[in-house]
Amino acid sequence: MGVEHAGARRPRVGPAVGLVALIALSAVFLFPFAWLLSTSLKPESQVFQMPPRWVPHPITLANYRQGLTFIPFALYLRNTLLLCTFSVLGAVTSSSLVAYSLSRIRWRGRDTLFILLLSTMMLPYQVVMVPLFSLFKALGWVDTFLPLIVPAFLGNAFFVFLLRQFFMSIPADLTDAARLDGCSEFAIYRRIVMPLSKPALATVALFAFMGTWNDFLGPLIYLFDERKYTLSLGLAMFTSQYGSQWGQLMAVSTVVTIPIIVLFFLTQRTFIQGITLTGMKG
Amino acid sequence: MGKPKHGDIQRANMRNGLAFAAPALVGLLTLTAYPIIAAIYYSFCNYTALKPPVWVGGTNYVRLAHDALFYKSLGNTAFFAVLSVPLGVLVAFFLALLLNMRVPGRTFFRTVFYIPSIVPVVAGSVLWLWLLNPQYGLINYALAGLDSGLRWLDGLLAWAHIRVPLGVGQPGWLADPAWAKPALVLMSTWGVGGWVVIYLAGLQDVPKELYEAAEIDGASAWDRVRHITVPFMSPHIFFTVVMGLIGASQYFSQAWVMTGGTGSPANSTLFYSMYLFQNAFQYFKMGYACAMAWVLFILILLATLLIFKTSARHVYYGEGG
Amino acid sequence: MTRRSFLLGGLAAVAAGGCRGPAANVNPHVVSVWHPWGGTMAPAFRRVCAAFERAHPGFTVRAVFTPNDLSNNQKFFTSVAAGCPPDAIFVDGPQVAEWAERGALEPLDHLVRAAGIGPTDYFTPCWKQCEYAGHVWALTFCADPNFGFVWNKADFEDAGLDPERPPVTIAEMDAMADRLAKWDDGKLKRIGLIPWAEYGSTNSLFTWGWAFGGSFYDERARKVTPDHPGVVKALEWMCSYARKYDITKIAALQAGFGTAEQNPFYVGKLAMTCLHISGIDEIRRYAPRLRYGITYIPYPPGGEPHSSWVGGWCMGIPKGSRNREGAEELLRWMCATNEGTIAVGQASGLFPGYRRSPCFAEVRNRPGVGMLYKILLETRHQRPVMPAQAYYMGALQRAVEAALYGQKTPIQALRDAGTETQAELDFILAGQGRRG
Repeated sequence: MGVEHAGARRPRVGPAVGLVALIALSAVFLFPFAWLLSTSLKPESQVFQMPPRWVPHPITLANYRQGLTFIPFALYLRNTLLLCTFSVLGAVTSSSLVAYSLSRIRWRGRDTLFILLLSTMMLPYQVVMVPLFSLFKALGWVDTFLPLIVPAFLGNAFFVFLLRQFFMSIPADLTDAARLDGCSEFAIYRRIVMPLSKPALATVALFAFMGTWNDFLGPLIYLFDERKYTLSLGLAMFTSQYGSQWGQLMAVSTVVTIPIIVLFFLTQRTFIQGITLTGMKG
Repeated sequence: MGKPKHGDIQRANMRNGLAFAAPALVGLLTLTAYPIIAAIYYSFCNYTALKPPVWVGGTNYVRLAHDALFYKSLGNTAFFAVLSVPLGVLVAFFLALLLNMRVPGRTFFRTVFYIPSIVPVVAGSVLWLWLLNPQYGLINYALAGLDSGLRWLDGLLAWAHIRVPLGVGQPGWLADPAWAKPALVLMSTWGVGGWVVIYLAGLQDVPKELYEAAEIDGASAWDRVRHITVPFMSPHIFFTVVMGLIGASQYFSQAWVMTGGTGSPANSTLFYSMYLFQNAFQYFKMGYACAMAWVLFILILLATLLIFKTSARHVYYGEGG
Repeated sequence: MTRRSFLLGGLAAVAAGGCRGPAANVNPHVVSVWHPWGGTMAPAFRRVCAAFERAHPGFTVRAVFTPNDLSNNQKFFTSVAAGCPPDAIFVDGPQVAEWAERGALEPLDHLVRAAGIGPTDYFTPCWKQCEYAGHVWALTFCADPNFGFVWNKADFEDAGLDPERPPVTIAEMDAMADRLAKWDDGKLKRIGLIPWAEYGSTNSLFTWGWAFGGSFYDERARKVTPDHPGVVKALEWMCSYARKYDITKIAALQAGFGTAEQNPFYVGKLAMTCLHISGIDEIRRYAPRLRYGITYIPYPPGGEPHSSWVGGWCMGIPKGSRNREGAEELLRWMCATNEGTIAVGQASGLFPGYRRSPCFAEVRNRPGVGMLYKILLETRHQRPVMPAQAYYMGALQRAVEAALYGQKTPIQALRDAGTETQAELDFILAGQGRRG
């Protein structure tokens, strides 16, 4: 039987106010993309007009035509997607394994390892860059994709920490019960913890993807052949001290941005999958 | 079948713990150990990266203690961290709550708030330079509007013989040493989309029954947030605070783009990592830069450990762990 | 576990496919060069490389674009430090001495002797940039005359000034700037001149410092002289503008979109300014309807008439370059031959450093560019050729801003910059830098 609510049903004012707030804030957040799009459709002489016009007149697609041929777009896209794919695979597998160790297994030294791992992020990259580069050079990996792929499989502190927090919120009873039943740790990891963590894993996948998609410094120092370049380096090709192609840069940036936006939009469901913990009360 | 002995369980846990952590252990031993040891060594040397290092003992650290720019850049970074991290967490949390509500077009809005993280840095920076223009930018335009509103109100009050000077100035933002850092903090807040995504994922784990029960008991929305949402979200808030701090301590590339790599105006945007970068790659003082890096490391490590210690009381992991 | 095997297989394939490391390239007919020529210069540089290949059948140029983000130093230095640098590299003119001192470059004495290249082949300041400690370390690829002085003719008319009479002295310029400044409701709508906005604070100080008769470095004594009376006067004059017009209001005019192309001169908000050679093309593209004139930089009594300094890029050979001969030929052809420099000049619209190049013959009569050539012929300065150069530029920039924002007096700011830099310079010259 339902419980009678005390008093009349309160009107749901929250969502309405929320919607108004969202619309207002969205305008602010959409700004850069709107400007990006607008500039990409302008002829060169209007790009830097002050005050800027939002609707270009005339609208031109020249920037897209020229921009997508100025750099080998398809090649750079392929390289970038390759790196992103490995990055996502590596991040999701290795970080979840390490996070599992740091959150679901009680062993001596796990907190030390956690702090150690975390502290690797506290040192600015500039001072490790040269020795690390020399290391990769000694391995013969310079001018290949390996320095950009292999580290993804070795547990990134950021993702490990992120997943650790999520894993720690899973009730201990679940895994303890499975252990008593004789399940191996790996089976618990694979069959219980991972399926319950889809939003967290999707988040890791998203961050790993975006991190590699936008990574500039890594490809910059490790790739010596323009045919291996990625999109982030390709975008940099539009600028120079002596003159930049702004309209084209905006056009290619738009082409680079839109698919991600669409992908993000379509995969929203994975981020909001709830966990139904039936039968766990009491 | 007898119960497994405690010692056996401990050993099994140790084995499993290490096995699962293997990727990280391998990474630490192979890719991290050598550069870190090298960086420690270089901090005690004169090193240009192009010629072999020359041992000088603690000279770099002593020089650091006498370097005015060291203190200036440290202050700038601290200011930035103290402002941007709490602000970012609050804004992201607020947005996540909004985006978790049942409003039409939820998916659209969530995408919109993540867009700043997708748009290439160059487009974002250029746009913010325009927004923050002291005369023609939208932000000061809005502030000017607010100002006229307040002055109108002032006039009204004066008519009623109440003299209260109301007014909000229009800061010089990136052109004014006093306002350049707040401008950058504002710009960094705009990029909280990533944290919103994390919080959204975390919000899914908050048991809905608790909300319903609280509502029945007459709890207001604010109470519900404070006593249910926040505790369940505390692991993720903790995560973003720590990561935010680490990120803020190394913040500089956005500032570089916005200010042309000089820390202008007048060193107000000379962040610690920017000064470190200048020393490492422009002034050929890699040893000095390494010393700077280790000083920062120690400071951040201490701060993080402090946060860990004080968080033990506030972070709630449900029934997990 | 099919997913896992796919993973391993893919990894192996990528590793194998991507493993064409630089060790594989010891072909003497392939020359790799890292360059900063992106944007509008990218097609130009490709054409120059193609011209080189046509003139040298069998040779291939592997040009790799290294973006100037933050600085291309990161990529270059990591490669030199690890022993896999490119065969040839582009060096910014003022950096040559420092990179030479730090051991990033190989001396070019052999090339210079064999090809019969001498100081008289280049504009004097260009050659000076490339020489250090008795050796030649680079050859000038392009020489930028910094700067031409431009004025907006429409703005002049609007302010009641003769559009064909630009200022010649500083006093005239100040008077005109007063008339050209336009206010509207407390907002600055147009300003006559922004002295510190000539492509950065440091470059502005160099420009006006030399125009005021100052000097920045005493080569014989190896002392930096930012507190030279001429330089101090120049900085004091710059600060007078900051005070008169309120520096934050001026910055509002400058900020725009923050890019070099968003020069307030192009949109009519700045009536007079210094212009770099790339500006000529930028105006043509972004502000085709702008009516402007170009002349020499004004100077004060006792200062230097027709003052300018040279900028631009040079080419050098990194330490550890694997194809020295090929790189030397690339440098020689692009920087010291008629056909090479003509190719560079025609493709890019820039001036080669090689003064004998026939490409100047057709340039001297063109509007705008012709004036810049006249300026180049009289250029006497280059930025200080000494190994603490990057540090000096940073110190000067901080000094200019401290003075502009009233944090220090000009003379104090410059003196401090001098003291810091001298300490750094002495340290390097004493050999500490030499050993690391």
